[in-house]
Amino acid sequence: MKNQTIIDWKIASLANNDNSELSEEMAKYLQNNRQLQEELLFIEHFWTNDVKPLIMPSDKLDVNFYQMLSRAQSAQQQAMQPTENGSSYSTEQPLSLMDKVKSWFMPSPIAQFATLAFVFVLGFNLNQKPNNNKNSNEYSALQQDISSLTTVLAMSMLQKDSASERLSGVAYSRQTDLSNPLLVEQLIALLARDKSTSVRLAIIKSLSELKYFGSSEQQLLTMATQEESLLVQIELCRLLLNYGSVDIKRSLAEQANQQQLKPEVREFIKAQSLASYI
Amino acid sequence: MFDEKELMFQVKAGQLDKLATLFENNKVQLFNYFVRTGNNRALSEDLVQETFMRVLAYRTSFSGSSTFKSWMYGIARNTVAEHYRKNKNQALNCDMDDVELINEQTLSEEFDKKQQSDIFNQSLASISPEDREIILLSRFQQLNYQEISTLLDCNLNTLKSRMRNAVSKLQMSYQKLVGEMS
Amino acid sequence: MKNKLSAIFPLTLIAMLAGSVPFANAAEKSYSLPLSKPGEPVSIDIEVYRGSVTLVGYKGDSIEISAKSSVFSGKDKDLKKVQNKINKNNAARSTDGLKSVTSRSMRLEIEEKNNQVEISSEVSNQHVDLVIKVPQRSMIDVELYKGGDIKIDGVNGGLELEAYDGMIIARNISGPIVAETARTDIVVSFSDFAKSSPSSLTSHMGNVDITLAKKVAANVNVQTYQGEIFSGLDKDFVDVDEIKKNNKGHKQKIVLGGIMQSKVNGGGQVLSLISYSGNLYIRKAK
Repeated sequence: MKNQTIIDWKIASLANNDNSELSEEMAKYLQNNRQLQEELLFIEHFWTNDVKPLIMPSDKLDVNFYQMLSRAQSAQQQAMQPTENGSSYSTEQPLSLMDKVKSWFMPSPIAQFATLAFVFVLGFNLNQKPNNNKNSNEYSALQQDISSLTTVLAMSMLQKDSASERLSGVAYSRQTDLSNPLLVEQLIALLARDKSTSVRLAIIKSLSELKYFGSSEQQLLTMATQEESLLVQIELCRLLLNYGSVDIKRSLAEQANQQQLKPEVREFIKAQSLASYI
Repeated sequence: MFDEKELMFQVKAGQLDKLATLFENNKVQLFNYFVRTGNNRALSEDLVQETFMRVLAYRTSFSGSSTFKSWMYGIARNTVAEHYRKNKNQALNCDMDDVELINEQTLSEEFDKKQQSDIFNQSLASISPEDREIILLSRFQQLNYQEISTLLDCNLNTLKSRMRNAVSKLQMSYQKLVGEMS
Repeated sequence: MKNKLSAIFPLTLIAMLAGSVPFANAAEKSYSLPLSKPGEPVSIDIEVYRGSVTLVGYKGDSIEISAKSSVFSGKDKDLKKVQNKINKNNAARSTDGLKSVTSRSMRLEIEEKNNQVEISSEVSNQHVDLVIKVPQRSMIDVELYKGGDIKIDGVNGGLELEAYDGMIIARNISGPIVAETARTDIVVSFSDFAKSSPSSLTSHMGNVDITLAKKVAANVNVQTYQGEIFSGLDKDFVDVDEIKKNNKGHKQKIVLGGIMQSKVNGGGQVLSLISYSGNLYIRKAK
């Protein structure tokens, strides 16, 4: 048995390369080796040390990338051979529109707001003309484009340094139907680690748009019980009580009875159970 | 949930808009990888942009034999190497003061956690770039040993040995910094 | 794509002063920090462990810092924890024949790079009062852990403010503003209201008190669990019921801690006021 075998095991287990337990032989060797114990402790501290949050790049990175992507897509379209019927021409228009709107993802909040305003005015106008002359496939394709653009915009804003811009991102996410699992995953991850209570509360409200929590439900329950902020804990409990599954509501009620939640939150849950049902 | 490898195959097949999802999912980690390896913010952003340009340009060469992340980091490393080859007069790593490795914990969290994080980060900044890279790829970019050994083109045992060596140097640096503080 | 390897060196000042006045427990110093890119956007990040922060907007293009420090002589649990963790392997050193020396020097770090300014005072036994004049357009981020208040006057860039111990008082601002306190009040008067992104004022136990200039257009959302809401607005607050069909097709209505909204001047960007047990005051400027 050598030191390096045990160090190898420790690093591998922390980096998820190895799920094996410490063997008896290794444990015995470790017991008699104080310096090795200190080394392992250091490795553990370093690997589990919080290094959040990550440094965020500037808006310029997004601008440059989307401009590059837009140019690549334009080049690709120009290389496409047009077909004989009109449908190729008409499907090109929504694509060009998407490229154009994407290239409007400028860094300044005003331009982003203008982009979104354009997207929604367009959506609004389309909604005003249910019997328009457009082909219904193109219409739904365009709507899908708009929805996916809003999703991309939401996801981009959610990564901003400024809390107010992240609030914008949450507001945009509410405009989508949260059908994009990546957006939902991002919202829940941000809920767990964002330093701003305002952003976290806004995310919880946004999550109430979800039709079904799925596997995230348990994660939300764990978050609720471990939450330190009173406001966030109450809102998480409200979210689960109103929209969670029967099982999760039962679990929450059990947590309340076992006094694992803050007293104000326990009172809230009791009061919620007296709320009227329609 | 989405599969990055699947998305990259779609990009390869011509659905270029799928690259946006891969970009959004990886840009922050990739940016931090460049910053942590000693590049300033502006250059790190340029390197992220260059990496994704190459991902797009070389999309037909993506075979799926490795994960998307592993393939992307391979391109990232080549991008950095080429950059410094073209700019030989510039220092390979920026002055350590320029590296923004300080954690920004909120003030409402414990002050001592911040101090410890700072020391960890300073230790990381003080070891050699080669040692630092192995720790970054494993600890921060979360690539597994297989991915890293493919990336660095070395066998598994050599990788483990390099990892041990790097961690040992990190610990020495940490203890030295702690000693200086007390 | 251009490679940007222009040599950009941060302007860093680390100010250290020895207190020379025998009776005074305070050191005071002023700095004028020019901006690298006059006329362009400015962002200022301030992190103070103990003290107070006052920011005043003006039409100039430099950062004028006035810092006054004094020694904090109270006990601090946080400091003990740090020492215990790092020095646990070292035996306690003898202090026989020695007397305790209190450092009167002020440590303040100021860094500027491409109009991004960072000011920090992280020494836990030092109380630092900062009064800073900043360009009106500045975007500000302040975190103040212990001690006094955060005060802002006449800044029309985005504000992100967190005070753990003291109040947040902002006047003559337009936002967007995201501010948070634990137990203390947030008092804000808006001379205008930014449309670009939402604003939110959140306190767990403190009151939130806002005054809106006549021209402000906003959707004001209010939410408090145990506190009361007082409004001087023309438009009433109405319930924003969250009604959603669950799988069985029934509706469930939220009764407690619900959000209410008033659209001021036809409505506009969202301004949220949230407190668990504090009161909410919404005033109209005269």
